[in-house]
Amino acid sequence: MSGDFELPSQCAAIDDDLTELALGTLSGHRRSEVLAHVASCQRCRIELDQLATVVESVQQLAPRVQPPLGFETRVVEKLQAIATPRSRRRPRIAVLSAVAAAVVLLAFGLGTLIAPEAGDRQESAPARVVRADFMADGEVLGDLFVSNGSPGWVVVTIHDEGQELRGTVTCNVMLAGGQVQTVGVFQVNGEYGAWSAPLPMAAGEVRSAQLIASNGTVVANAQLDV
Amino acid sequence: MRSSGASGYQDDASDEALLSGMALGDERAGLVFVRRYQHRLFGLAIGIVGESRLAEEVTQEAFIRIYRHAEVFDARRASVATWAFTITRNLAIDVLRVRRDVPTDPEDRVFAALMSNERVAEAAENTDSLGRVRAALADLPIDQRRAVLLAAMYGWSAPEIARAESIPIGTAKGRIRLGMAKLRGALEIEAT
Repeated sequence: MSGDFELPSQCAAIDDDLTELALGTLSGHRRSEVLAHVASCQRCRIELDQLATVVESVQQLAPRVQPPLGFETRVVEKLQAIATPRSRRRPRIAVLSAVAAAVVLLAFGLGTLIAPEAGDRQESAPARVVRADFMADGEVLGDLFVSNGSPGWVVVTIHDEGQELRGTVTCNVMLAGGQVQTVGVFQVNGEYGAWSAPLPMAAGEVRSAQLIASNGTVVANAQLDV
Repeated sequence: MRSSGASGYQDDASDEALLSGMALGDERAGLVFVRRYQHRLFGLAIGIVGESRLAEEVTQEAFIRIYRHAEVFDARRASVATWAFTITRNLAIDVLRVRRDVPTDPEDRVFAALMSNERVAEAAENTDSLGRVRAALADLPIDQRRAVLLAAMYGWSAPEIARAESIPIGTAKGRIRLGMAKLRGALEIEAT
């Protein structure tokens, strides 16, 4: 939507295409051009997000219909057949021991993407890693590491200072466009610990992170310097 | 991120977390995802292809594609729900295009229900979120409502709508754009 102000010419040129991109009906070449612009334009990214929400709302009107008996079992069996070979080469989301965490962080430091399970390394292009302190009441509670591999990874560590933290903790990340997304939930048991998870978005989108206690209280914040 | 990858995912895990687990080959994440989406995706598929056996094939293939491509899902481009719907919709349309000549005739019961005046009256009294969407859709001029539904539900491009409706492509684009803009306003979707 152009509103009452004049759009930059690049934005004006793709304004109609954003609607079709959100609808999934924009053709290949033009789609690439529009996506390239959206990647560098916050105004168009927000516009696209809003249009995608409209599309999703309309699609939600499709009726919910019970599939035939046994459908779920048949689908899951097929997924298991795919998952078995895949799980041999890719790690599960895992709790890292202190040693394993150190290995991951060392590997990040060396610029290599590494899976968080011993013996399950996967080398690719050097990954850039950014780090920030998780702060609580002016004290450093732990670390946030974000690696921009493919997929990107987030690693959270809790230091000795954070050992009073106990229970279920949710890690939310705040993105450049202002969206907040949960990347994981983990248990803190009063000991040093580290947890990792793949990022469901591009690492470069992450601006900050929060650890949220089970009662909804924000217990720590980490602000990435990007 | 889970305290134990082996213990699996809770039913309230976010869609993105489930996709991440699926990308890593976690079967439990796949199971939760299938349970969450099977009714919606099957409902969309049967609405388009019109018969249960074919709809099951389409939905099953959609889940397989979602699972295979979970690691390349890009949250910047669409929500998980829209992505899953788009995959299912495109598969269903492809199946019909093989069986019939293009463009696919969307005169199915889903389309008819969403276009009908009875549904409009019902929607106006419905205050939940789906009811709001139905009411907003019902308020659109019929040509815009039809264009938005053809594009959002059936994946028709502006040129395909133009051909089917015997209108210029620019008119088709205009109907889609205006309809979408009105829906956004009616649903009060704003920047967050």
